[in-house]
Order: sequence, then structure tokens, then C-alpha cells
Amino acid sequence: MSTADLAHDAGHHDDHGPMKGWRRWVYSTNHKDIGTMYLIFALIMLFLGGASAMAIRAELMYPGLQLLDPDTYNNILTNHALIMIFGAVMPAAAGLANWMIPLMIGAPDMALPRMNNLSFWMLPAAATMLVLSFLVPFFGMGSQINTGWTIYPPLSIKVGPAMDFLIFAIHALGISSVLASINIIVTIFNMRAPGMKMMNLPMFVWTWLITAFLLILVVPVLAGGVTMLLFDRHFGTSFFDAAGGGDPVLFQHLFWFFGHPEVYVLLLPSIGVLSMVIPTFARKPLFGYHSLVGSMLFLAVLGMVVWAHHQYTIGMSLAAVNYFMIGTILISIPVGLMKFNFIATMWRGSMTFETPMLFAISIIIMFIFGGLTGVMLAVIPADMQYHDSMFVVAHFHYVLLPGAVLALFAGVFYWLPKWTGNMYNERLGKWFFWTNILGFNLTFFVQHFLGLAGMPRRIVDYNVQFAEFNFVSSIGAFIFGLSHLLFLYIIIQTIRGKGTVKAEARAWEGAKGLEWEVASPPPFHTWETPPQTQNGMLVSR
Amino acid sequence: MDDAARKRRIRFMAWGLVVFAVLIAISSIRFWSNLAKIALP
Repeated sequence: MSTADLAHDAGHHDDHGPMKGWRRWVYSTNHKDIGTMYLIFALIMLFLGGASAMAIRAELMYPGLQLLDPDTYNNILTNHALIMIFGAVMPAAAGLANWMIPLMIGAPDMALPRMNNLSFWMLPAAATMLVLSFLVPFFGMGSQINTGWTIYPPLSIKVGPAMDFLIFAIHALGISSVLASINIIVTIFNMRAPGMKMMNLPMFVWTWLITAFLLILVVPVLAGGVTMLLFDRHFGTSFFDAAGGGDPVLFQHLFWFFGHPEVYVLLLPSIGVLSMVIPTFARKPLFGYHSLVGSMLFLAVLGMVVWAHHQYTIGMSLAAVNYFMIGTILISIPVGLMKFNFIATMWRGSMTFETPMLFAISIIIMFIFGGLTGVMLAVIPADMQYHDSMFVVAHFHYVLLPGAVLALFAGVFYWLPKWTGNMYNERLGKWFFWTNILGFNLTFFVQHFLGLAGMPRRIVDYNVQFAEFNFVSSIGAFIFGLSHLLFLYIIIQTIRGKGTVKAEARAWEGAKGLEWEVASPPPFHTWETPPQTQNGMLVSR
Repeated sequence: MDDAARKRRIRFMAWGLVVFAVLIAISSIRFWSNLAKIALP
């Protein structure tokens, strides 16, 4: 009998199992159900953001205007970024957190289950406003949002009502993120199983703890910034309006004080996923646990004080830009340390190459590539050349796609057997991996050369000298985009369980941790009786 | 720690963090604005 069955036998909760029908989801306070809703929401947003990416690449396939007028192109570009960051990656990471953190620390649920429900249900409302910000200009309500996701004034002050929808969407998304973060912090500090000390926490839990603190520290700053923007637009203030004594550059500081740590908000949970996947498939404990925790804390602190490297060209003092340059280059130390920890974990391990491990290894390679171009961009004289070029687009896609999105895919493949009770089709998983990686590299590798040759980013049309590489990039993007249909198929097939093998409680031979001690799929309630643990491992139930 | 004490601690922490987040949002309008203006023109 599994642990979960034992916990289930307690019997005292049988009268409050899942509600039937839609009530189960709308009123849910169960961390697994809310985690599932986060993940489904993120998947829908991934396809919406992906569709906008396809539109962008279809337009850029050839020089000249093909499908979109310049305003619509800019509008789609803005929405692509916002949907992917706020709609897809953050909710997907929150979904993993909801599902896995209570299971990993031996808690029956999140510390604040009703707030958990609120955190999730703010998201569809926010996403609706976000999509409306894209749509309302087509119904004659003012101009389209042509600012990009950075929504810099003075342009963002001049945009029509669509910008107000966007500002309120950002507010709602921010509140949702902060509430979820509070829940995660409080859960980790108060709900750990007896015997589980902070330095016994699974690395995924550590990464989310640091991420949650980062979110609470920086999201309110963005909220403050966009509120000031709202006041400039409607209530006669001039925080960012030079004509009234304000300063548009001020908004850039506020935005990037949020925006740069946001990169680590997207990256850290994914590093947590890799820290779980690599030891499992290398069949070795994670190398340098303490140093990894230390490097993540260092990364989080450093990430909060280097924001103005996004703004080298605004005319800061030499002392200021030097500080930001040195600080930014220092980031390569904790990141490099993490990568060495992962490589050392694999070293002389008994490795197998299932889909999550394939993703993990490819992420290490591609993320190093994105990191190296990051160091190039951190160097002020070089950045003056690269700034606002396609080189920057290539850089941050090499950081965020492997570092955030692909790592989340690794996590989904890793934990899908736990969630559904079925093993996914490994052959299809590998097909997805290879088409995904091929498409991704084909899309973005050539964009480095486009940028170095002088092609600016955020433009709808370009000189014919850039035609060949843009054509290659678009073909890669279509392969990359289509590969996600296979991802969707694999997930549906695994959930339905037709033609799949049943997963055991410990779905992977090398997997360790409390989450693998409960049945696959876990029952509705788990760890109602806190398990006794030692060094993070189960001692008694 | 008994359940009642744990519940009190959870509530205290959660409300503390809510207040903290709201204070950051409000202070960002003054403090961060002024800091950025003075230090990073």
C-alpha cells in the first residue's frame, strides 16, 4: 500500500473530497487542482503568444510589407512579449510550484488555500484585459499599442484607451503574482514536514523561495510605475512628461528595476527544475547543494542592482555605467557556478537520456551561449553598437527560451507521470525535443548575424541585404511553432492514458524526494499526517 | 508547534508580506523616483 493510500485511509476527509463539475475548479482550494489550472492556463497562453510569434515571423519572412501594417505589427510584438512573460512562463512556473512544493515538503496543501484560489482566478481576468488591449483599437477605440512591452513614455502616454487596459492587466497580474509569492513563502517557512530543515529542502523549493522574495520586492515597483503612467495619462500629473517638468527616463529606471529581476524570476524556477531532473537521470546527488543555494541568493541580490544595463544609451554618468557594467559582468560568476554544478553532477554519473534529461543537457549548452552574448552586451562600448538590434533579440531568446520555457518543458515531462499516473510516449517526446531544438536554433542563431550586420529590432520591414537570414529564421520559427502541436498531443495522450504505460509511484529509477513516495497520480489529499523526514528523505509515514 | 500557533504565525507572516508589498509600491512613487532622479540623471 502506498503512502498516499495510507494517508487516505485516515478517512476523516472523505466527506470533503473534490466537488463535482465546474464547482471543483472555480471554488478549488486544492493545490493540485489549482496547479493544474495554472498549467492549462499557461498552455493556452503559450499558444496565443506563439501564434503572435508566428505572425511576426511570417511578416518578416520577406522584405516589404506582407501581412501586417506597421501599427498592427507593433501591437502584436507588444502582446507577444507580455503574453509569453506574464501569461505563459510565470503561470507555468506557478503551476509547477503549486503542484510540487506541498508534495516535496510533506505539507497537506499550501498555507493559504483560499488565497491560492484568488491568485489563480485573477489571471483569466488579467489575461482578458491583456487581450482586450490588443483588440479594442480594431473597434475604433483609439490607436494600437506600439510601444513594445517596455511601454516607455512619452509614447505610452499618447496611446489610446488600449494602454489603460494594459495598465490594469499589469496591475491584476502583479497582484496575482504577489499573492502567490506570499503563499509560497509562508508555506515553505511554516508547512515543512518534521525533520525537514531549510538546507534539506529540494532545490526546486529553494529556487521558488528566492523567486517569491524577488517578486514581492520588484512587482510593486512596476505597479507604482504604471500607476504614475496612468496618472500622467488621465489626471494631469507629469511624472514622465518633460513639458511638465517630469522625466521620461525615470520610467525606464522604474520599469527596469522590475524588468531585470523579472529575468531571474523567469529563470530561477527553471534552474530548480534542472536541479531535480539532472540528479535523477545522472543517478547521483546534486553536486554542491550549498554552493548552489548561495549562488542563487547572490544572483538574486546582484540581479536587483544592475537594472540600468538596459539603458546604457540614455546618457548616464561614466561612474554609473561603469558600476552597472561591472555588476552585470559579475552575474556570470553565480550563473557559471550553477552550470559547473550541473556538469559536475553528471560527471561519471550513470546517465540515461530520457526527454527531460535531453532538454536539461541542451539547456545547459544553449544557456551558456545566451550568457556569453549577455557578457558581450554588458560591455558598454560593445553595447552601444548592439543596442536595439536583432543581436539583442537573439540574446534574450537564447536566455529565456532554454532558461525558462524549455526547462519548464523538461519539468512537465519529468512530472507528467506523477500528475497523470501514465508514462508519456518516450519516442514522441524525443521527436518533440529534436524538432523543438532544431526549430529554435534555426530561428534565433541567425538573428545574431542580422543584429551584427545592423538590422534593428522592432521593425516591420527591412533592407534587402537582411533577406536571406530572415527567411531562414522564419522557416525555423515555423518548425519551432509546429513542434508545439506535438507537445500538446503528447500531453493529451498521456492524460487520457490510451496506449501508455502506467507510472509507478517512483516513476523514474533515480528519482528521490517525498513527491515520489506518494502514488501516481496522487490522491486528492496527500500528507494529511506529516511524514517524519531526515535529510529531506522519508523516515516514517 | 501546535496548530493554533502555526495558524497565527502563518497569518502574521502573510499580512506582514502584504503590508511590505504595499509599502514598496507606495514608496516606489516617491523614494525610487527621487533616488533615480538624483543618482542616475
